[in-house]
Amino acid sequence: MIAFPDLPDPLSHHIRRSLEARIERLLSRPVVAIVPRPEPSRGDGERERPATPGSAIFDALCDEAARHAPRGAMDENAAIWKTEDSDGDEDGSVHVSVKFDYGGTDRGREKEIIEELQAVVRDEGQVVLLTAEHAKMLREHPRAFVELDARPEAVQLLRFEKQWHGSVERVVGLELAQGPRNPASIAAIAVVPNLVQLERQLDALDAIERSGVDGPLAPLRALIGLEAEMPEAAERAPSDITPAEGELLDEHQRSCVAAAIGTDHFAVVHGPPGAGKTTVIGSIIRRLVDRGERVLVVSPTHVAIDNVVEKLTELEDRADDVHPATLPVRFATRPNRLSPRAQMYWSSRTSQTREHAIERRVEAILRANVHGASELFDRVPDDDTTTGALTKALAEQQAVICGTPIGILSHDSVANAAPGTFDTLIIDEVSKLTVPEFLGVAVKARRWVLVGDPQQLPPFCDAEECAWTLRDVMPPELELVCSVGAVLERKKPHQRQQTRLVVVSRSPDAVADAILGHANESAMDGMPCIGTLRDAPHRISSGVLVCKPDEVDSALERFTDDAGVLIEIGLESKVAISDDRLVDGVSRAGARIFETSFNTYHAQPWEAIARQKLSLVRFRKGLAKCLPTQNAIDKLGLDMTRPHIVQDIADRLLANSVSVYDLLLGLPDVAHFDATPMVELASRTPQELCRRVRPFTGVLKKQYRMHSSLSRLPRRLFYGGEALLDGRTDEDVFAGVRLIQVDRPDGTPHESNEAEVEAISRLLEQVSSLQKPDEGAKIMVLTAYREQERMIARAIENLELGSAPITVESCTLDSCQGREADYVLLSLVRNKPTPFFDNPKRWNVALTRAKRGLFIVGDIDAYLKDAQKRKSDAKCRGEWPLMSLLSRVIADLHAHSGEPR
Amino acid sequence: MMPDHNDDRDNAMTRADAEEWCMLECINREDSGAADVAKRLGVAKASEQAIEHLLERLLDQGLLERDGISIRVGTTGTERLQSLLGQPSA
Repeated sequence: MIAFPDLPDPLSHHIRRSLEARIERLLSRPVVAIVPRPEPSRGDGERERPATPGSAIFDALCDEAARHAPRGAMDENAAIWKTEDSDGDEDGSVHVSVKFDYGGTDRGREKEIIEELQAVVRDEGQVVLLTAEHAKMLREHPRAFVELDARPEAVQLLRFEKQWHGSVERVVGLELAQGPRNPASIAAIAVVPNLVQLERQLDALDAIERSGVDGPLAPLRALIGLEAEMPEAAERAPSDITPAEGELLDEHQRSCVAAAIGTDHFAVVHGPPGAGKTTVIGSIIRRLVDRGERVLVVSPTHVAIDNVVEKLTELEDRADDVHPATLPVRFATRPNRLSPRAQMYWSSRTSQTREHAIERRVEAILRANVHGASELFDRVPDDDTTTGALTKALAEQQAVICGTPIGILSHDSVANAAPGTFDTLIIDEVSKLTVPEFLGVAVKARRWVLVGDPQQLPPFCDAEECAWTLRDVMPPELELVCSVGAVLERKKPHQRQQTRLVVVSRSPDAVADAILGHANESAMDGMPCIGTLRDAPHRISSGVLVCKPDEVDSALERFTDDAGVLIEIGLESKVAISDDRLVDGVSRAGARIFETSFNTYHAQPWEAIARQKLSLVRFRKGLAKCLPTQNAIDKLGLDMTRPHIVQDIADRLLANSVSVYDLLLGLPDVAHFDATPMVELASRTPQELCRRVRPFTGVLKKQYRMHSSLSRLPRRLFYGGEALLDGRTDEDVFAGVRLIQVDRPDGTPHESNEAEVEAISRLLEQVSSLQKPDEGAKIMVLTAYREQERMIARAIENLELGSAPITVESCTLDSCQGREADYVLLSLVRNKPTPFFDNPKRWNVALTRAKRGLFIVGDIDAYLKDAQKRKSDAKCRGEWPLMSLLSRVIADLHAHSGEPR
Repeated sequence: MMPDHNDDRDNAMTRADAEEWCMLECINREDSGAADVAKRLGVAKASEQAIEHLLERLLDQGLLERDGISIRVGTTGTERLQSLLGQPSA
């Protein structure tokens, strides 16, 4: 009898589990602030209510009574909501003092709440006003609360007020756009978790799982492992197209357009920087619309999608063209983040500017073509608000719908569309989208054109958030043991022995045994003593003590000095402990696995191309201490095996931190990796997936953005010389790279550098004083750090550009993808390399934004010295140099650009 | 059949009226299908779908009448044109 090996769960299983875990995480920690009531006056019915069997009825009656309270009581409650009229404007906004629930145990909760509120204010989001019943429901049954039919009142949060409490800053007041309709009934204010995106991704997964093997979603079923075979598909893409009149496409661009319009399922276009992705997308859209298709165009960044809108509408001034492809809809909740041109095509659920843009074009066409139309339109008053019948008919045509995955699905015409409604989905910058994010919108189409560059920025991976997706893979005790491994692994061996850690578990004996077994199997040196409370009858100076939740105080007292506390997942509420003692989420095993794997995945394959070692990749060796060992599994008596768990972890990495581009054809060769779980991830049979899904593929090999002096290094470092080839011969001699030395004064903070800001200001002043600057030149100032970017933005604001036709903008490295500028100034800030800088994809993006000039500003000498030393050390050893990518980049640029000045 | 150009407010016209008049004027000159109207309006062939959609709407309103496969301005449409322009439609 033949034994079949266990088949791994399909990717769909891991996507579903991951989405459910993320929803659970959002619901587990709602941000709720109590609105303190005034001291109860006698007989006002607001005394604390005893929890008796009949209290629900009493509560309900009290709430109803509060809604119809006598005026005196109402006034007392209303006084909490103070009208904000300090500046003399009575705009209806109110201030309310609040007290947030910090839970007493969570370290860093204050910071999290501030960040959450900042996001709400920044995105002009809303908070909800809760009755006492609502607040109780949100805490105890968050899922039921989120699904309430009768939604609590929501108001816009304008800003918030903070105060220092000891060493932490806490939010003490909120300013809202308006007060509550019924102040007396409001007991709390909350930022309610927004589950819409995750639920849409789950809905998409449901739709794919329900769909038939012959239905329009069959290719998506194959992609996520639900089908072993695809429906019939052509084996080879057509290789060329005939360009339309006036259409300038090179041979690679034509071949990519041919693949995209020729596929029955998937087409994947690899588009390095400046290779004309937007031109190709525009060309694809026009051809699809011409054959009567409806097209969704999506990108995770506003910049990329605006570029497409601008490309489609660049013929706007030609009054004889009202073509569906040039009348895209740009869906977004608000227009303020869109480019001026894209704003003309903006539409949200409640308002739009697109109709006016169409109206103008229709008027121009009618004036030019219909006898007497000009006289008629001259009679239309400026304040006329009617929409013409023809404008309306054209506006209703939505052949091309553009937006981010979130923006596009916030519009009913897409959100409510049945699966497979749209003919083609084109996704730009698909390398930034994970598979679940892709599925959320992919389910609306029946063919998929994925455009991206795996050498540019990957999906965003919040390691702590992703760690939740491992909760059903590693049982709590096992996660606890691995987290002890993660904590100890971070310490150097001589410090490890001095560790003071209290570990809280339901089963201290088994967990203590498992920690020992785990340490032995993962070969960790310099281990401290490990045991339960019984093993340490006297005071100890170091060690790992495992105890039950009610023994924490005793365990802490055993140590002669302060000890950290690590709590088993699920026991957090049973342990009251001060925030600064807790081991936080980012230091636990799950987050460490995600963070290290993510960094290794994106950096390690690059080492072989560049013949250099990155310090970032060396951290992978620590992964073994964070992953479950068979010893720990056995000691805990779990019916599991290490290979299965590790494969599940690899699949969760695949579902949460790898782009859909990589899944289809970009997973690095397994030979690049030497550590678990990267080996398992890369060996998840990508060839098998490719055979199953058979995407048509194309590569845009030539670039048209950068001067040849700028493309040389990224071409060699990031594309192995095979892409980013110069598409045109440049005669321009006023172009190139310059390194500008700015000494870094002692005491300069880590994430900002005033000296560099001053140097950049001087450079910009030089440009602004030019009598005859380049026509319409655009300058972009880049930096890796937000604080530095803020300082640069302020300097730009103070710059007097006069009448010079120059635009200057600042941007962080992580948000500049998709942008370009004539000149880029790059502020380094630090003079010592950090692992954060070692991401090759981040540097590829930074080095490929400039068209004519790249000016790197910082302590160049420090990086040159570092590179020189590392290279000579490596030469002695006959190895690849171990140095930071930034040192390498600066050394290579310096070798071709002369001495820094 | 052109209206007198006049800045007088009483002679003002809404944008909706102006667009509608242009459509009717196109059809009034010659019995047309959507393709003909699109051509006469000067809009791209690919916008025929929008024109067709609009013609359907005007047919529903009784402003246009279908005559076999072609379309002509109906009695209501003629009256509408007359009221807009203050003179008989040609």
